[in-house]
Amino acid sequence: MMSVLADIQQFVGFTQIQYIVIGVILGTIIGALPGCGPMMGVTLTIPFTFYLDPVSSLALLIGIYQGGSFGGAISAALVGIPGTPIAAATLLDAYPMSQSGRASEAITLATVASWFGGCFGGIVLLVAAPSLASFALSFGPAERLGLALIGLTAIASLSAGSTVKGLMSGALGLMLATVGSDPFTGTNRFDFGIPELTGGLTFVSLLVGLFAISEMLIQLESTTPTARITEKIRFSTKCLWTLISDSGNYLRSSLIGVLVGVVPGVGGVSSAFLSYKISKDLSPDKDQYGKGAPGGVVATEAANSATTGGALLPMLSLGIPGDPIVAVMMGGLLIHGVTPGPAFMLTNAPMLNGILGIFLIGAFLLLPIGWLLLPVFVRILSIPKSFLTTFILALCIFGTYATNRELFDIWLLWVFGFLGYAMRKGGVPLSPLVIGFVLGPIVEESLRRLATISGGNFWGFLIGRPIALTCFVLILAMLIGPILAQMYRTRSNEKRS
Amino acid sequence: MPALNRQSMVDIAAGMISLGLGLGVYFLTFGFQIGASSGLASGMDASLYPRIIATILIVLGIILLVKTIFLNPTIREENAKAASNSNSKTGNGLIKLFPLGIGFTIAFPLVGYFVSTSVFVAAMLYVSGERRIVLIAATTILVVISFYLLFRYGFNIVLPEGRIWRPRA
Repeated sequence: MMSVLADIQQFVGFTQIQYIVIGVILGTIIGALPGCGPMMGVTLTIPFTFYLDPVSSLALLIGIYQGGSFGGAISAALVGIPGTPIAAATLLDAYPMSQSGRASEAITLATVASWFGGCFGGIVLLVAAPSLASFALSFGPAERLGLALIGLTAIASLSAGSTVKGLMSGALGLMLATVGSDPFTGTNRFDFGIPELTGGLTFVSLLVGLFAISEMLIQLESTTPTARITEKIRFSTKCLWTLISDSGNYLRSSLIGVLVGVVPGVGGVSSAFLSYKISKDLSPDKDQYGKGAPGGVVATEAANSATTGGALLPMLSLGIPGDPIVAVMMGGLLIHGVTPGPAFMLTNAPMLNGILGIFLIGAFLLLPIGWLLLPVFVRILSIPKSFLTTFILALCIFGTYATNRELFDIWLLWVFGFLGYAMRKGGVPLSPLVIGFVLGPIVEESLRRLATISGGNFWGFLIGRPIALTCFVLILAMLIGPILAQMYRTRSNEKRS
Repeated sequence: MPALNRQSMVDIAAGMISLGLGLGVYFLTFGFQIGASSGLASGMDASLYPRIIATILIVLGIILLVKTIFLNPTIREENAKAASNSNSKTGNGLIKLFPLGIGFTIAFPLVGYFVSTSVFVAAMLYVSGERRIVLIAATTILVVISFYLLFRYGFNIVLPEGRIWRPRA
């Protein structure tokens, strides 16, 4: 324990704490804006992390992830529009509370629950990450390939829309990752004679184009008016007592959040709804749920904030991102030459402890920041959409340009913006593409090493590797499961009609 | 076979794109210049991995096409209902933003940061619905100057001054 504290002290100085604070504030602001959210926040920040050291850049990104996960609750409570899909479950009780004149109480409860869930997730991360990583140290290319494909398949099959489209998106991400020089032979692939493509597609152009530009295109089409907040919102200190009076709900929801977060592809939305359902079922006032029950706000916010810690666990210890936002963060770390996973844990244990410390500090700071800046966050909701769209677009363009100072990257930005827009309109999820792009090099390297080691006898080799074999069985189950479910649904529909 | 609704048409287009992309990528791999050093023991040269993914894209494209065309009509109706919310003003955003974005990208190195960004920001504000000229002008000046200061002095990035303003040697 003392060595962990010493590592945190070594890597987390005043500068890193500053970045955490900036991250939590920016994340909360972006999270509160309807249509934005932590993914947008992390995406817009990635280009600027090039100018920071790896720990500082992760401090900024983690802060945004934590703040963004909470920020959605503000707009959910005040205007009935969740800033992020994660906050959709929060809306069920926070908005009715707000409508009955208890807006300050609803937002304060969301702040306290997010703080508790985040701290809980941070503690679990601090305890579990080193153990999981030391277990994963014995993993070879077969296990790495299995885990990477599990991550990708889970996210593809659990994304909104059809499994086939999710898998298509993931395969497209893997394909885009092959652009540029082959890492084994140096052969140029899909560069079409364009010198800028020999180094591969720029991660920032892909990311910002797919998520931010396509979102701005959708925002330009939407006719939702800007919110007008007239009520004065203040942090209500009496809500802090719920930490004692409703402690079971806080603990149970946070635990659900962490456990759901660890499973790749499930994420904060599912954990919030699951926790809400359990909290409602166990509550003596279950009739109040959906009409403004404080327990509902606590359950959803504690769960979705704890999910952030759970989602970081597989990324830091196994090198497999648990959700798309974590995949983006992993991409940001890879740019800095830091490859998360068991090997990183072995060679850079102090730095990993520093990162875990950053998470815990960020989670802890959410409460004082929320307490002090709540009125400011509320004001942000009143900014006209035209100003916001323009500002975000300018940030996208110049952030992308700043990465390599290449005009080509801006062209790529528009290409991926168009692709992202087309995918959204076609109901093809974007997250598997990003995860495929980030995991692509790991998948290719593991596959080619495995092919060399196994001498072509792939399945025979797998029989002697139980972990890898389990991974491949799970992948098959994830692929076949939805098909069986759909067949069952079709049959039931036919019987009914 | 029941009539196809809008969402089914979109799915068919997605399936065809996946199929076409997979086939295109597969054939492009034959053009790789594979050097002598590529001969790994397993025979996995630079083209095999992209071919595996291309095959996956082809298979998924075919599955989506078959699934959409022969899908149970009730499920198809559910899909259409789910997608109907996002399809209200399709194309409006593209028409508003893309000409401006492409124009900006062409103008940026030619006329430089200040002129191209000022025009882009002002035009963007206008197409997003802002009609108060003074506010557009003030916001444009604020955005252009603050971004210039941030990138030039914060990140030490020299933004283009514009090729056309430079005297020819």
